[in-house]
Amino acid sequence: MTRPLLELAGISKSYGGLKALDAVSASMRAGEVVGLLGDNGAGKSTLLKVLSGALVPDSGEVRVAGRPVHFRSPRDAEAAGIEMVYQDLALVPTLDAASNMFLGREPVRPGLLGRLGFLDKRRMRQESDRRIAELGASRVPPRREITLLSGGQQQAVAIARATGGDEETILLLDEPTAALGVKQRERIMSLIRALRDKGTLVILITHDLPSCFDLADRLVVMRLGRIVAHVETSQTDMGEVVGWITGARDPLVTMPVKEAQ
Amino acid sequence: MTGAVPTRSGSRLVVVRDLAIVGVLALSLIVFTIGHGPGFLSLRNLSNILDAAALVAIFAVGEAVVIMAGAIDLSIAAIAAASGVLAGRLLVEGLPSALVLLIALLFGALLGLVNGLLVTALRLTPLVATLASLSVFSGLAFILADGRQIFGVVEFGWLGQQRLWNSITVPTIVMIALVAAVAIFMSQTRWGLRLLAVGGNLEAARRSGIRVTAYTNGAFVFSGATSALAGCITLGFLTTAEPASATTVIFQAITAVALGGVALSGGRGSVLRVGIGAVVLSVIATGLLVMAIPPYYALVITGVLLVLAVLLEAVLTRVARKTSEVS
Repeated sequence: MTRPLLELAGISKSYGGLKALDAVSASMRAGEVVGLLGDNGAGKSTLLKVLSGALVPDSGEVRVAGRPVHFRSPRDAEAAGIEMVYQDLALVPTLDAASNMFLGREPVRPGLLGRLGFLDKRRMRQESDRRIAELGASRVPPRREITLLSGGQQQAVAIARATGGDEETILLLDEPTAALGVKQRERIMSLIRALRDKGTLVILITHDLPSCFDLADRLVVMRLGRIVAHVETSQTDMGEVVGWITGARDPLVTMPVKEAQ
Repeated sequence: MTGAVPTRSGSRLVVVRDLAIVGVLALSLIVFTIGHGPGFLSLRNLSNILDAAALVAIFAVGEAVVIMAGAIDLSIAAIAAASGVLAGRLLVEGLPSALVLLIALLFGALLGLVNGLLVTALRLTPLVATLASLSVFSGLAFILADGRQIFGVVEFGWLGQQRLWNSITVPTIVMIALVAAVAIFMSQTRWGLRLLAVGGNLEAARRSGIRVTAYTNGAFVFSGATSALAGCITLGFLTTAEPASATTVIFQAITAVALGGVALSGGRGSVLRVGIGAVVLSVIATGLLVMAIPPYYALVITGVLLVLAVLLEAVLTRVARKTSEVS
């Protein structure tokens, strides 16, 4: 059995008297898609923020590939191989696809021009094409402004941006299929499968239960800051999951969980 | 396969949108050449047109950078006045003119930094911040001048009036050099790209690890320096340091910026086309002048042109988006 890529041990976070995360523990492996489900206010977003470095938890520990990590900023999380694709995409609508893919880490030309900050635009376009192709998505014109791309194409750019590094990555996807047409949703879903097959751990946050059942190997359901279910997708159904989300069903955690020390 | 054709026509529409200002320039030259005669295209007249465009273009380049960074600078004329007055006083004191130019540019940059800090440190909106600084800097110009004009400042003549090879003027050369340098900076360097990102989506830029406040401050500092440069050139050809701000400059500058296709909401634009936009304004003003049409018609034509330019941009963008959604 492969060792877990991502471990959460007793993560807690309170806002005033409200426990947004209450001793959350879970472990996830490389090359799987984990669906993170729950109602609004269940703690999904808070957990995402902890994992992406946007929020420091009050207590508990995050381990990546067995090593404890302490994120103080999204940069720290990126350095540990965790990338987040936000629901609002976090792309610059007025810039082209290639520019967006490299924003903040733009390749420059060799020599003096590079030291003057001159962009290697050709490399940006070629890399952009290569990454999109690697994801198995249909071609996105690298010089096309983001506003002129379809929702699916924009999502592909955002994901390609996040998975650009070649190290083992953990990809956090917040509502990736929201606001997409049927055909585009299919494309993004096959893109997520391709990432999983490459060995990426994909954590999928969504309200779209059918997509989630289609994609996820395992499901983690949260309610009121706790994990109330952690099960193989094949061993449950939508009725049960809705029960956990609403609190109508008793908690069930079938996956082995390493408790906080 | 089905998507290929509409996608390509979407790109073509964007090209049309981006080159429209060149068409407007050509059209205005043709109209006035027909109206006035081939003398309109004489070397002398063309160099006069460029000279008349230079001031607006220099202001507009600074303004364009600020607008691309997602802000706006209303204080450019006041910075020009204050810097011009400071330069005038220092020249009267007998300081060498190159040194005075440098001091005036640094002074303008400093005033620009004040604008930047009002926005980045005090979190004022750029509109409010530079409306306030417009007032403060306008007053500062009068304070520096002891409330009156300084006459007979001829030391900046080389900067404001000099004609080279009996045709092109120094302000024209300054304009061309500035437009070229900033156009290359904005379109070819990572700093230019990041500045556009800050203007296009501040949050995305921040999440990409870009130090967004540095870019906003930098844009205002640059705009302050270009305004000071324009102030020094004005001093050069007037030979009078005038503490009263040229209040219409801001409108001309923003018009040139908009004609150049810069999104006033930030994040998009080409400095080269802004330069052409300033030249278009100058062609219209000069053309009406030589045809003895009263200059107030220029105001009307400029306004109509601005509406058409922005409409064309919006319509073509919308159509291009629609065609690409089909794919």
